[in-house]
Amino acid sequence: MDDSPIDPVIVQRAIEWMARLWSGEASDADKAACQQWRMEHPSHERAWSRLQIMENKLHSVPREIARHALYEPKSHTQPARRRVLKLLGLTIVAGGAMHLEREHNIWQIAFSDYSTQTGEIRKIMLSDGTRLVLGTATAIDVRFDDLKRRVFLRSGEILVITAPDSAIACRPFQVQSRHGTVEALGTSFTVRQTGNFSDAAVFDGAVEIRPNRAMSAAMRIDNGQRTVFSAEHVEPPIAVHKNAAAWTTGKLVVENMRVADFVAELERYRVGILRCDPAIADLQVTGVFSLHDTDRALHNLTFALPIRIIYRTPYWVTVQQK
Amino acid sequence: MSVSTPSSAPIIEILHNDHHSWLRGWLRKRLGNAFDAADIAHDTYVRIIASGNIPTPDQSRCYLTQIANGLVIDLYRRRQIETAYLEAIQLLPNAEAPAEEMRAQVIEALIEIDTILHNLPRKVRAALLLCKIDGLSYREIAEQLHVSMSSVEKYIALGLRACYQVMYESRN
Repeated sequence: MDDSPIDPVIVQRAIEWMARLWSGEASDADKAACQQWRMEHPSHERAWSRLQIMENKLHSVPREIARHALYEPKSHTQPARRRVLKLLGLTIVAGGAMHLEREHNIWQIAFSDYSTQTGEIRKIMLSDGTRLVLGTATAIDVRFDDLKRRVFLRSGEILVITAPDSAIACRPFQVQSRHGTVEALGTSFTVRQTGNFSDAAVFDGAVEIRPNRAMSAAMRIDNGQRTVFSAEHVEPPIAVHKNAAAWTTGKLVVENMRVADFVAELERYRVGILRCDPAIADLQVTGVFSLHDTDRALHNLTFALPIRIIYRTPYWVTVQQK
Repeated sequence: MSVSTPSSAPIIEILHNDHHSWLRGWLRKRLGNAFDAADIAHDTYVRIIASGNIPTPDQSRCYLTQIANGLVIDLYRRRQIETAYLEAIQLLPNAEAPAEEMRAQVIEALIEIDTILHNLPRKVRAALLLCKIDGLSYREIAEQLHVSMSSVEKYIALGLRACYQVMYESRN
């Protein structure tokens, strides 16, 4: 590509043409005249295509994301509700809102990302002392700023044991899944994200869940409860099984669980395909199984139930009737 | 406050030996994070070497912290964009969210655009975004910004001018 400078007069002319044509009301005569000008000289066309690169850049980002990230650079200061409205295109330019902006303490940022492979379980401690356990195939982004401590759950499942915030402001601690925000109210809880919903279970304290598209449907979930939520709705809570967080220690502890559900759970910790024969799907299983060694867990299953494990390859396994 | 010298290598070495660990400590205390502190201290020296402007000895620490401050602000803006991206994809229906592999690319593009738009007057920036992101006509933009249509055209031209400058005229 030709990188040599272009005569500023030509660049200025190209800018004027482009600013004219973007108006949404340019006449056919304007368009034709611009076309004519571009063809007059190769440098005209070069100036024009350089400007188009910027236009293409603006179009290369999905619109909703560009809107959210670019309109107001300090978007953190806005209440979440307003940002959602903006994202949905309901409010656009916030005239005069900028003066409400407070000075950010840029020194208080702490950002990091963590992930696990399939089958891996990993414990980490965050800079505020909060402990996390990442389940299989999990990815999170940790974003602490001067207003909030946030963990974005991109996939998988985490257990959170929050620590009191040492910062003077006592920043709230939130886990954001694709479906909504789970805010800790002093507490230990898990959040798991699947395709159409997220699942939250509370083991200590309480959380508040706010679905992304229905903030008013917020619901408090207390110690010993669990629920599933979509971006629109939170289900009424039910009792959480006392062993529901056993995965954090590498164990799957089940009581009268359907074999099909058991196999689906185990599959999350395995690379490859793990199938369950429908003929035995409704049998029930009880026991303690290893998530670190899922082959052994499957083998142990054969002691209790009339089933056999068929290995077509190590990555293609079927649980069948004996 | 700085002198440019063609044979600056020994001077840079002195600057590095005398102040690098001090700078790293200074940054770590403020950022509370050794990794970012090490990165920014390193980038500060890289930037000084690239610019060829070596501060005089009595100005060294002042100059280093000034550059480091600028880099922290850049990092902060980058992370704000990244956070805004994360917020946005959480709020989008699954089908509209970009694939995970696209993430770095989209964030890079956003940062590039933000860098260009960053220093523009607010109305110029707003006009450009309303036009190109929201697809509004100048008539609609004029209503939103309470200005005339000819002002909108002027803002857009100013915005384009700034984009062109950042992309083609700022390199030397």
